[in-house]
Amino acid sequence: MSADGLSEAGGKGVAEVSAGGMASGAASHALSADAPKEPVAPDAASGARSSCVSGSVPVRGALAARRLDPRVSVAILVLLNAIAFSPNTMGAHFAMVGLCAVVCVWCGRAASAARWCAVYVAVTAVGYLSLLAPSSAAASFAVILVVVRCVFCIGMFASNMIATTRVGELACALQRVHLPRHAIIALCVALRFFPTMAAEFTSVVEAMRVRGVPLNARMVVTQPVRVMENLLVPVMSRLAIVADELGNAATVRGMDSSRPRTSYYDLRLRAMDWLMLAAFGVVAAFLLGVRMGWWLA
Amino acid sequence: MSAPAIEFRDAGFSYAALDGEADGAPRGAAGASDGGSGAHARGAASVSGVNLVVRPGECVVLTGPSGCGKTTLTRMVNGLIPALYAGEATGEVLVQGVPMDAWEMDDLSCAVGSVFQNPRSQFFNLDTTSEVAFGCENMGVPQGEMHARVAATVRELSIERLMERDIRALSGGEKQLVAVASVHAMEPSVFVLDEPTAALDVDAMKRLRDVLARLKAAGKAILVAEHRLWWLAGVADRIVLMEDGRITCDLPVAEFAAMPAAERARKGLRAWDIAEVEPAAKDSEDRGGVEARTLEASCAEEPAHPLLEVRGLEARYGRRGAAVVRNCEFSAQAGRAVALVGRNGAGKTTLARCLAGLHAESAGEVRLSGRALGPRERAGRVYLAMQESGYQLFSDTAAGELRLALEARERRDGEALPEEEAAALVDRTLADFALGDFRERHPLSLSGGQRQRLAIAAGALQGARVMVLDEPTSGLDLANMRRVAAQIERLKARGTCLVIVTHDFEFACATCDELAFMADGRIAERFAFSPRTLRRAREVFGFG
Repeated sequence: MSADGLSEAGGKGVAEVSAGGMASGAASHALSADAPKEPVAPDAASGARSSCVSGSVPVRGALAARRLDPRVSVAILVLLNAIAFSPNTMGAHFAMVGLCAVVCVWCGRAASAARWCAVYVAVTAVGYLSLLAPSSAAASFAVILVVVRCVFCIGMFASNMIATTRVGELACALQRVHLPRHAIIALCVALRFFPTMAAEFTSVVEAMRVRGVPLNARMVVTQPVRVMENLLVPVMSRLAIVADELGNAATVRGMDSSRPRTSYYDLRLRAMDWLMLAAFGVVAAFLLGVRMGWWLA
Repeated sequence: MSAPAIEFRDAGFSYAALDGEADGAPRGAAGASDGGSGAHARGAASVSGVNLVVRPGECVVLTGPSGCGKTTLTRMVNGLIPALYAGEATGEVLVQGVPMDAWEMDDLSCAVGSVFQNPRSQFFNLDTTSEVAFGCENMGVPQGEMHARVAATVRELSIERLMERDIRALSGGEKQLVAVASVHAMEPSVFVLDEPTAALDVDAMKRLRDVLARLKAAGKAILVAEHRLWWLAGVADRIVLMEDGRITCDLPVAEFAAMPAAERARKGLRAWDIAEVEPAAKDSEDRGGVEARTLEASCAEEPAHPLLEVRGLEARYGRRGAAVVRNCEFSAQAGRAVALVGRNGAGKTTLARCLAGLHAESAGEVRLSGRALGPRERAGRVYLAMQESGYQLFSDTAAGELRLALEARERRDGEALPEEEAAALVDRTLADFALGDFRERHPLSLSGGQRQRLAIAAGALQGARVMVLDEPTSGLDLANMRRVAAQIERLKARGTCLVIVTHDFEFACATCDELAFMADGRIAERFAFSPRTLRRAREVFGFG
């Protein structure tokens, strides 16, 4: 994950989405998802919308305006992984980064898209520049950059997916493919746990600064064990407590229930889902075609 | 009279020795006598001979000193005993007339809704809507009905504003409301809340009270285990006092309210009515004494300078983010404690983090003893006592922890103490903070209260002249709250300048000399805390 992903995991940030964008987006999604079947749910959704719109203050932590169906997201992610190391033509690569950016922007995360694109341009430019001065150091550096470029789209798409997909929807998608209950719940808790863990580490690093316990590159090199201990012992003891408390909450909320699980969400593929699936599919097919061509030649 | 929703018949429970949790037992024992920060309740106490009835539409409050067994009673109702906690049970507990062992856990989870102390660790989703629906999903409630239930919950608790949000961006109070909502959607007839306000501010507590009143009106039976009592006035029907695992009295609320404040304090209980809480008697002579000592302690400085000065401070999250702290002017004298109060989102935490050098200001300056210091230089000189003191302890013994603090000071000041002197200083500080008996104990094996003291002692030994304390009394009973207050008096006597972020009016009364009220990112009001300013102080805390 990049800095972008980390900052999202930090949990302190205010959502990038503006109030207006969020309100209309969230409400429109809730309406489109629930309206046909259930007359009561839109009630809540419209309530949320009106209260969001009436306040001019941006709503902290408003959810992403629009998002892809989690099944489509997973499918695209698998595709991206499959073609990550196939021989990349410049054009196809640009196309994929462009498509990822389109998804980001469509989800209402234009700022994030811009950051990722900027990083991509920088990586590509530095990669080519290092070819201008051929030396062994430059070559190994270039190799690293090439690998970064290969997995770049995966990182970009995954960060957007994590930021926009709802855990409940993902669980719903996994239920549809009959994944066992415990696997689904484990995944949900894991997704929830990553940000917690990141926050815990941040707290410990801050505590070290307050206590005047040094944490710098020299310490990491000269006393790695000591640094690890300082970081890990407080985090572990905290996580043990959080795990205990989560366990209690899980038990009383029916996590171990033997009843078949249902879902609040109604997954339906919409135009954008099909469009993106098709677009990524075309690029992937093209790249695979190029690879086949190589083999045939 | 309606049939009881909860009934304890001569019930008792003692925890089995915890396996796989080596420090469980000693921590429990220490927690009972010395109290924890209340951040978690692993070492809960055993109970015996409990007789108690809660009827539908009734709200019963369990209270008593830390370690009296309140939490254990709640676990006996929501089924965590015996589902997660092994031990020996006696007597009988009935929910809706059905004995515990006849309940299936699934059905019990639907019948009894539980809300816990820590709003951060009872969530499984990252967004509020999924979270409210989560319990229903697990129980296999059909989708149509689930939508109806979630919508009804949102309506009944008036939390439209909180839906479709990222849970991590909510305040503690908002999280707790979402927790209540997620339980509500499972449509239980009994609600069990275990110290639900430990992390909440005054406004959030009032909002929670309103929610409980609605649940009560809807005929739910409510059992609340709680230290802080004032917020339950108006919703509680009976107050049940516990001590050492037994119920000592069970009073209708009118009788409890009629009890003299002194008697409640003798029983180790927090205030029932905020109107009866007053600042500790500190006459002007006494104050003069403190200041005189302070001046002696800091003779190197010009007495005219406040120890801590903040000028035009501005802080924001992200380069383009809105300023959370802006135009903030603040100062504090050595040997005095200033309570930093304000609503959620007023910028208290950000200001505290700025002072401690954890958050870089975007404009303005912070001066210590008249010298402007950058954020990096402030880190360590302004000490932040975090809410979770466990984060701040890095050594494997209490004494080692203080050694670490001395080393930090040496690194900063560049002068080392002779070995003998250092050892003596460590011993003296341990004794000063009532930690002499725990010299060789691992910090993480100490109780919450002891850990907090150790973290503060380390700050003092590190040479921090300014200490910022973040909610030092969240979830503490009266005895432990007083212990923290005594600690603060000691720090004042050492000439430390204290800035205390707090929502706890009783605690502020006991120890703070001044009040700084923060609103919109700046100090809106500042006054000495005395019987004369009591009225305004109450308003500033959110009462009245």
